[in-house]
Amino acid sequence: MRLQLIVVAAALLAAAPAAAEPNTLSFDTLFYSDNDNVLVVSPQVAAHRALDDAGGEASARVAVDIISAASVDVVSQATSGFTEVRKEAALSGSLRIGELLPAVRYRFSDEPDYRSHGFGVTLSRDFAGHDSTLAVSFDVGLDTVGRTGTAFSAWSRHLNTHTGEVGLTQVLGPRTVIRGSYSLTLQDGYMEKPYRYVPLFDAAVLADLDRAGMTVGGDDFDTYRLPERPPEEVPDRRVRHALSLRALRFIPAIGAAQLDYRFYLDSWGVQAHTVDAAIKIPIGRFRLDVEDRLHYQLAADFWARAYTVDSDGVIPTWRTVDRELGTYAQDTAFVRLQRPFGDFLVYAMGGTMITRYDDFLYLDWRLALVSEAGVRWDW
Amino acid sequence: MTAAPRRLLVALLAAIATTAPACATTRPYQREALARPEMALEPDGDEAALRQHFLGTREGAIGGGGGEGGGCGCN
Repeated sequence: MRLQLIVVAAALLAAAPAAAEPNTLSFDTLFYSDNDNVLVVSPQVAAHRALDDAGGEASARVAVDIISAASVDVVSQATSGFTEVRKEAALSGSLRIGELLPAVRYRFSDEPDYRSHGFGVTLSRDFAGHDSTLAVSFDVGLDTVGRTGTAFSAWSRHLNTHTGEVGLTQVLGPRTVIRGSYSLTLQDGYMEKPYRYVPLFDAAVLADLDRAGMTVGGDDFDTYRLPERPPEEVPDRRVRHALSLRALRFIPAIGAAQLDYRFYLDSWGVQAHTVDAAIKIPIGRFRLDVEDRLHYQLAADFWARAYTVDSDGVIPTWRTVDRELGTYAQDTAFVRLQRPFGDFLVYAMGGTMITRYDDFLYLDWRLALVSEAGVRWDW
Repeated sequence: MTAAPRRLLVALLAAIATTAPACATTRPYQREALARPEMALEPDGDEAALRQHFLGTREGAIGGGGGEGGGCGCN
């Protein structure tokens, strides 16, 4: 499949006519490492070929995630960790037709226990002398969830995702541009992780611990939990809303200041606020970007630090140990430096991600180091 | 659609309706700052895609350019 995508991409790139916009070939690699014993290396190669001088282009991208993990929520399932490779290939194309810019895209992702196909279309149109751009997009994701070491034909579940988004970009003057968007995502199917089993507790035992000023945590949950450990179970449908705004303003003698805000909520009760602020400063031939992103979210309605069994022995219908469904605050800060060398542009980025979990059984906080480097060739 | 998302959508449409008509067309000679590389709304799509995938698998929210993409690549 990946070879076929590369062949199609190469044909697209070779067949396209030369145009005023530069064609690009880029190579990027992202490194992630945290104090929860997770290491991820993500290299990618991408190529773009301009089809016109007004945004039309053909592009192809191949990416790989190499993941080595022995995180607490992996080893808490009595496994010693894993190393896994995820491969992704994507193709996209767009062509300017008057004021309209239609675009299509396809993405394929494959890992030992997960396969995903994604299809998408976008239609954007300029108004008011290119001061306003309205964009409408629709994406479909068709995922198959499996288990490592088991053929998809022997065990698999499906997850279908539909996303619609509408966005408006507006120039507010010679120095300011803003964009607002709303997206609606509907997910139907299997959203559990097949390896996750949820520890259960006797309410009376937890109450005794509470009276003693103790809280069950990652070090001792195995001591206090009940023998039964059912698999994770979450609803089969999730409706997700996101409202976002980006503002970008040029500040003479400094550069550009960018501010993003996203409000998110979904039918599982998760609410999130994400604020991302950046400043981009040209310094001679260099450019320095400094950025900070703060994400805060409130837990799903059915989230619990420790699920309890009632007096009749009935276990909770919905139960999860997915930390991304809990309440937490996360700050990601990084510095990025770029410099052109002729037709090449080289950049490097480094930063930290600090996460504070309010009520997660296995972990209270996490510190991650993130770095990224890349080179882009324009021709 | 529940009440909260409907209110959000109304707020977004109201913001668009109030700001868009007030904007006079920006002339080509006034676009020098807007054309600078650091003023690009999406500076590099591929670099952004790599970073959004990394962030998307570590945030419980999606949308607004923060899509999860296919698969996980997490944990």
